Amino acid sequence: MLRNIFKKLKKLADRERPYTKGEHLVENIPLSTNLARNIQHLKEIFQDCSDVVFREYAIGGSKPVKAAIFYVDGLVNTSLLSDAALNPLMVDSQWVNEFGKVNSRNAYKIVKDRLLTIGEIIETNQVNELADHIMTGTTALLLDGSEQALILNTRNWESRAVEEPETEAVVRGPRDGFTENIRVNTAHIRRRIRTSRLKSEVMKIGTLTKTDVFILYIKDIVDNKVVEEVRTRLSRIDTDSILESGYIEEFIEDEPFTPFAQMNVTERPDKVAAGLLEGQVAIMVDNTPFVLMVPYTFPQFLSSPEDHYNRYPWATFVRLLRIVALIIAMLGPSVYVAITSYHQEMIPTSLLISIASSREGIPFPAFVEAILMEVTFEILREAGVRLPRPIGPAISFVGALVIGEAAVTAKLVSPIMVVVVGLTAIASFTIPSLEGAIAVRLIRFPIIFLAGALGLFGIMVALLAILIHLCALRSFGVPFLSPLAPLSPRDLKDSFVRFPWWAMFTRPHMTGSKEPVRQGFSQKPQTPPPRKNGNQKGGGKDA
Amino acid sequence: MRKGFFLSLIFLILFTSGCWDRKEIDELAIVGATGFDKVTVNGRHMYRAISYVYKPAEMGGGAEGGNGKTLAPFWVVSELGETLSDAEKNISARSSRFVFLAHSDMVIVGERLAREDGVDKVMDLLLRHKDLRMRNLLYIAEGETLRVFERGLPQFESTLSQELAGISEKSLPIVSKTYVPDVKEFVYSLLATGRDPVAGKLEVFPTPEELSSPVGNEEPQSFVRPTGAAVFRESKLAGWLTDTETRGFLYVINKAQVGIIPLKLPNSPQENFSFQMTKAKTKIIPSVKNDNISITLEVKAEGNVGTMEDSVSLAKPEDIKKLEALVAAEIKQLIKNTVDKTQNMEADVFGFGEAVHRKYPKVWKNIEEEWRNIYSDLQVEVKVETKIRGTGMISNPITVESR
Repeated sequence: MLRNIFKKLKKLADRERPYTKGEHLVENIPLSTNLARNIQHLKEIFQDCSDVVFREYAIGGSKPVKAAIFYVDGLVNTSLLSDAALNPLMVDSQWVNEFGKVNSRNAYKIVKDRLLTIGEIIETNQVNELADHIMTGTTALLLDGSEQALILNTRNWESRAVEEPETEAVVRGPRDGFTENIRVNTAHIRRRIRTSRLKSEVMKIGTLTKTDVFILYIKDIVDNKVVEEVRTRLSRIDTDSILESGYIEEFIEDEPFTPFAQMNVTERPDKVAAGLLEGQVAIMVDNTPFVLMVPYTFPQFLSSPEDHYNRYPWATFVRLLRIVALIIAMLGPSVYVAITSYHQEMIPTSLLISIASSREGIPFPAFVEAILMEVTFEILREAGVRLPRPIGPAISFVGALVIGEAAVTAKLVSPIMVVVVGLTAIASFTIPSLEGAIAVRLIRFPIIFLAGALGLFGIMVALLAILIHLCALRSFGVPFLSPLAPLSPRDLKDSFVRFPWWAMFTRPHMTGSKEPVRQGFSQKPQTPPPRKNGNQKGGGKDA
Repeated sequence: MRKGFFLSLIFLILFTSGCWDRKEIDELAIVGATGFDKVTVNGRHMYRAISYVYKPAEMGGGAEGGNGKTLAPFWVVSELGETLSDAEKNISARSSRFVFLAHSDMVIVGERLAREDGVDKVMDLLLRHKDLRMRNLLYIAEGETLRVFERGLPQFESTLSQELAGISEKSLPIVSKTYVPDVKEFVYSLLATGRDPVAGKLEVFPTPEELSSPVGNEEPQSFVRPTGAAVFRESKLAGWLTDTETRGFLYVINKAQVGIIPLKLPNSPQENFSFQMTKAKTKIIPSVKNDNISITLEVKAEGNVGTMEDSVSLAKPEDIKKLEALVAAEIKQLIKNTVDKTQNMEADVFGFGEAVHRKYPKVWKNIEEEWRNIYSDLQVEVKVETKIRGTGMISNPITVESR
């Protein structure tokens, strides 16, 4: 019977499916020598585009050559345009002898070689290509009598100032973060890694948005197979729009049915630079500050860039602390539910009595109580994000306090449950990886269900299932649990603990094995031999 | 699609079979102590089970009582039954919550049950029950157990079981005058060959006779304390040991820890020196010569000067030597007394039989049947070696010169 229902459902779904993707193929027209025709073509393409500016003018003295420029208002630097493209063509061209002889035959060459005082120009003879370029903020310069058009890089659009990333704050470390402008973002990386071996390949994805996607890696450190894999997976994407790196992430990840992200997401340039130096590949998407990093492995799940800046004993302590927090965040409420409703003999007597006295008169079982409080907390958290910035934090914290306090006084939930949920919530915020914290918060709920149904046995079932799943996960071919499984002992130096910098000679085995050694050995600081008192008098002993 | 079908089956398993033994904490009657008695009702022998149940709501921590009156934080519930298990189960019929025995700290058995029926029945129940732990302390109540629960008011803690558990935990290592085994230790000695078990003893004070003449108009109050130990012959109660006799017992079984032994110095009418025990080690050495079995106890005791209430100099090593000899004689006497008493009871609480069994297994085979007779007139020689390590913070006693 169940099978029949499924069949019917599938049929229903199939009926809605067959539609084809919209294809708006524009005919590929070559430019002609006739300026008026070219202008007409472009005007047809840009019909009703009120932000596209068109201007016709003339070059040269006695026998002026007609010219035209197209650009999108707001995307170009107009003062650069007038200084570098308009002024020399319209004014300076009259005073030079050579230009007296400017005619429609040599105009193109003279303009390109002698007059345009602008850095980057591209030539094209296709109307479509020209139109695409105009959309990116360049200026198209068309000359009468020429089949070629010049594309001048006058791009300059408003972008947000570089700010400290809000999602990944650190105490010690650089405060700059990525912005929505991809050029600024690549510059951030280039400023940190000043080698020509840092490559950035560009791709355009999205038939309508034509979003720039950059693949960054350091040649001869990165595993070429990973780069090749990134390239093929990106080129496989066939969609009309990419508005954020999240679009790409879901198209190219290894395992789609999982709460765990298989890519590191960050808006910190220092984190990306560190990843590149370990042999990772960064995928940068225009219009978003969030950069994807592959391959992603479990130690990155619990490491913050700050761990590499703080002194190593403290960094190690903090990492171990995060593991404890991870366990609390994942299992806090479920262990409470399991123990209080199945394994009361495990609680010390005095604690049991105090839990019992606090639960006296609570109408719900611990399981319902836990779900109630967890959902309430998630609602508060979500509300805190959505609320207008100035009142957001205030409302969410006051809300939590008031609801927690009031719920306890009204005997809806026990105070111990509030403590457990609060601790869990705080612990879940210690996970530095944005995606990781989300995954942990999500899998908490099924674990609570299992704990409520099967007790500690249920929790063990859940943990085993998660472990098996994590063992099977791969990020661009690299096992997610490496360097734990498969074990590569040397890489454990920078996993749950952090060794001092002078002790970490090698890059991670899985990603950086092409050039494994990253620094000289035996750089451990040495105390100089004790200075003798007479040294100053006798000075110049060594000399 | 098949996958989806199986997944939904798994979820069905969770929500149909799950939760069957789920008990919320507020549905539990947490029992702090369990007791058993033998009673005669209308000429029939019946058993009584008693549960000492905590009332968390009255035990603080929770919300304060709105009406202002404070109720007792415990509930003593007892039921009769044909067997011990029956009686124990009948308590559930009286309780609005699940009777939860996993947090019971002690099991108290009435004197009559222990003397007439023996504790092996009780042990059977305890070991068979899934909740009761082997870590429960085992006490034998002087008189009826119910009286202990009903008359014994806690003085410091809010409940009797917590108070007794606290006292039991501390009295042995700090005072060394009482002995309370847990169920596991007790069952071990019960089942071992050549060893008889010992349990703790509880007494209610003041006794009913003392209470019959109340002072003033005050409501008579009574309390409970552990004293000495209860000696068993096989599974039946054979008699009691007093505090000092228990100390002798503790020396032999290597459990004498910290405590004070008061002593009389020569030519003193009353105790004026106290020896502070710190460490003791006893070896039980059995020997068989021409079918003649004897036991030698080699005791090595260490300690300090607790108090010196006489003006005896402690400055020289010779002075200390004299005291050591004195203490050795006292400890020897302690042990002798206990051995004599248990020999009269025919209860081999020290495990002398076990020692013989270990050293002379062949001999043991022949004498096992009549060990009890042999034990009652066994030659026991006690050798004590004492060491006084220190005299405390001062050496010579304080002497106030009279002018």
